[in-house]
Amino acid sequence: MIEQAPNGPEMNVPPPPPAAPPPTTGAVDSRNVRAAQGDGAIVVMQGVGKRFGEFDAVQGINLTVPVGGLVALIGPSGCGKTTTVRLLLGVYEPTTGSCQVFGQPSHHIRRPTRERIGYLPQQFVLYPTLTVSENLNFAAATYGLGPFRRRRQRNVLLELVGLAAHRNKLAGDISGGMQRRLMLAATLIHEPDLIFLDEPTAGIDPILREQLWQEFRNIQANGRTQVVTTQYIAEAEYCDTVVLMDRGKIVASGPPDALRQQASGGDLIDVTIADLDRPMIARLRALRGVRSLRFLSDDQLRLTVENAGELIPQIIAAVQEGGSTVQAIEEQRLSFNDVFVTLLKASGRDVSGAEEYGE
Amino acid sequence: MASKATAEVQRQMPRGAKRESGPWGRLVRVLVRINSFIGKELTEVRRQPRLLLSLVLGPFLILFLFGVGYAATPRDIRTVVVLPSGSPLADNAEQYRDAFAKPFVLDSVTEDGQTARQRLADRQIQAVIYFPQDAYATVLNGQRATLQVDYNEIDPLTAQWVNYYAYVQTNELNKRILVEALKQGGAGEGGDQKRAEETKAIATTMQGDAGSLRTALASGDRDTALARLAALRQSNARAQQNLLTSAQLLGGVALFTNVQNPQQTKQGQALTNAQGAVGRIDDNISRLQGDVQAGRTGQQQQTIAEQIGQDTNVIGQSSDQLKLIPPEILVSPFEAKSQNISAITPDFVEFYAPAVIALLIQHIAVTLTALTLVRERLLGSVELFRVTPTGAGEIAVGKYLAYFLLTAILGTALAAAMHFGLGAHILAGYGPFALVVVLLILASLSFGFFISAISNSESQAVQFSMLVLLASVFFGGFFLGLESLAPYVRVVSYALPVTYGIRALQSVMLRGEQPQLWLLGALAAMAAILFLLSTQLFRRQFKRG
Repeated sequence: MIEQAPNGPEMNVPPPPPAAPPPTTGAVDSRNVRAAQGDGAIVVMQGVGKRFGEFDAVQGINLTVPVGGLVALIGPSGCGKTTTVRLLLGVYEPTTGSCQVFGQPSHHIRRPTRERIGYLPQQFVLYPTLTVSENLNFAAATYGLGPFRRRRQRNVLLELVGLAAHRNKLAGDISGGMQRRLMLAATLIHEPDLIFLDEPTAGIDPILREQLWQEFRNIQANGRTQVVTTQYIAEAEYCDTVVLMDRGKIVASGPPDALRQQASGGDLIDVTIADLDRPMIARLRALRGVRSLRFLSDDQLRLTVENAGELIPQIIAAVQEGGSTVQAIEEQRLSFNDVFVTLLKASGRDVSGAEEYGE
Repeated sequence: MASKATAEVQRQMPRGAKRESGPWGRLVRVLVRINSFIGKELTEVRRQPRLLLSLVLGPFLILFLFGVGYAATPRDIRTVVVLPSGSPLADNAEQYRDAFAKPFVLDSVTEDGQTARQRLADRQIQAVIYFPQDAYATVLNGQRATLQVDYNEIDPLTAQWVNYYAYVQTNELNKRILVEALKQGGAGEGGDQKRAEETKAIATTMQGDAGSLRTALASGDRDTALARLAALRQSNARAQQNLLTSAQLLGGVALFTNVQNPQQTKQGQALTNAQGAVGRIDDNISRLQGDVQAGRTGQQQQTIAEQIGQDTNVIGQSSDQLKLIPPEILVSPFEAKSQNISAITPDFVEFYAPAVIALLIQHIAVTLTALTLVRERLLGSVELFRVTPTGAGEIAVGKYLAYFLLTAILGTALAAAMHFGLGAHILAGYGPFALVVVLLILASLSFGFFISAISNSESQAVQFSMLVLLASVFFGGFFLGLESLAPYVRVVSYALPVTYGIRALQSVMLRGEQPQLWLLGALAAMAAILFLLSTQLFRRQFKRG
């Protein structure tokens, strides 16, 4: 997105943060009040490892997910994302360490607590010979929802995922994207507090992926906690916390911008200056907050700074004081793909085939 | 401390929708979960009408066609009779045709054994009977002549039938030859009857001689009287010989018919009377011969001659009784007359109805359930269920109830079709019938669940189901009685629900009896043990790893 600065050179600004959640439907609305309740951790993993025979699927995982958080587990195929989710769901028992969900060991989560967990597996595991509506009804009943609540929730969620018009179609007859949305509706049908979404956007077109992430933000806005795995690195932008995984270990974790900074060593500013000479370079290097500087071309520099917002006016002023003019200045945000590759490189991983990590 | 922290975390957690707590709420949720599987399974099956058709209508039609089309009579065994070359026996087939009983059917009579053998090899005929070259001489030497029967058969059952019918046929031929021999050689129509007529003729001659004797005595003609006495003695001896032969025959028949006092029969009394008369005649002849030689021909001697005449009458009357046993009766004094005291005498369709119902119910139940757990595993639903509050037991119970309902409905429809459509009997009433069917369904469902629990793929489950069907047909008592199986093979039979089902349904439907308790107990035990075992296996597979 390109915007003209009110007074100064043309500059590119970072993309706006995700849009505020739109008004949600009645059933979910009623839960807004629970958003961001408390500051307890809903998921706590400490030194968790899982070994299958001689193979360590994950090792030394430390992870804390706060109530209402939206956490993404990102990494290439086979990096241990799904194993981590299954450990949290109690499908697997940790070989080492402790894994707690709702304050209970994940492998022994009590039945009432299980009613508060939702899980969207990678594959479509509902029944092709049942209709969309029947599948939702069945999913709700497996959580013990009575018929009246089932009907109400079913109608709400069919509207929410845009399948109301397809409710009487067999699940085997709808498209892959619709099946994914049906799975999502089945995951949410019992209004869980903690939701695990295992690659919810895998194999889905970009437009639908965007819609789904919007929905995850909506769910988060309603105070629910989500743990999402994805191979699409760019989707990390949507999350509060990103956990980068590789070969069964956490490579880095934190908010997206923090990871970006960690990868690049600070904010990046590209500046094009007329008549760029050594004194001008020395002037810029001398600015407080500038960490490094390198040439991109004869008249263009990339500065690594502590805080781009504070430094851009200072750079413009310094150039003007040096008798020159800034022809263009913009803050550069590393794509998350670059962030991911950089962090993997820093962990010692050969990333020559980085495109495999997705968009 | 830890529990306090846990409580704090849980307190802070946002709660989803309000959920009923307490035992009642938990029970309701358990029932809702079980019900969810009942509904899901029934809907899934309802969406596959072709599956239902193939499960019910297919086997039903096959067995129906078998029932109405099965011919219990063995096929004809077309037979060529090969006579020795230059045989005096007639080669006109019509003379032999009635000597062949079904399934032996006379094709032709020939002296060309080579052609007959070739036709047998080409399977144009099914048997060749070779008459021996020197049968007469062999028999005269006191040995049996061999009647060679050749056949060309690979079916062991048919081969057994041919052997059996060859034995029967040989007996039949032996009988006919014996009858002819009796006729020709001194018994019956040509023997027993002829001998009786001869005895009667002798008696008549003796009556004439007795009359001449009286006349000679009255006239004092001693020479004529002595000549008549000699003739009477000779005739009396012949009559005595005939009576002795008849007595031997009568004794033989009495021996095999287990008669304790043959002399008290009509023939026995006649024989006793005749033998008494012969004895008295012999005595009186001796006495008269002495008197006549001594010149006594008076009233007393005439009275004795009168007595001889009366005794010859007794012999004549008795001989009428002795010619009453025809040679066919002598050769085959017994004939079989059977009577079935069973409540009904069902035809083939009616007889096989209980087995068909039992087999189809087991087949439907096993096929439906064999796929169910393995399908959930392959579909990936089990992973989802592991995360939900649903337990393995709830899933198993839900599915079990769903398939019970479904199989019960299909079984009822099938039984109704057999009962009202094909006229199958349910003699003991609907109550015992329903009890057996319910237990059979439960045992079969458990069997299917067990297959599902031990199968790793759908094709494996289908294969196991087909094996169960095959084993049921062979070992379940459907076609072959369990008695015809070796004891160690019967282990397979008793591992199948259908074995108990068939026997119990046959009692209820065909004999009008209550089912034997051990059969019901076996079905109930099989249902309970296999269900618990398969649920336990499923629970292990369901267990979070």
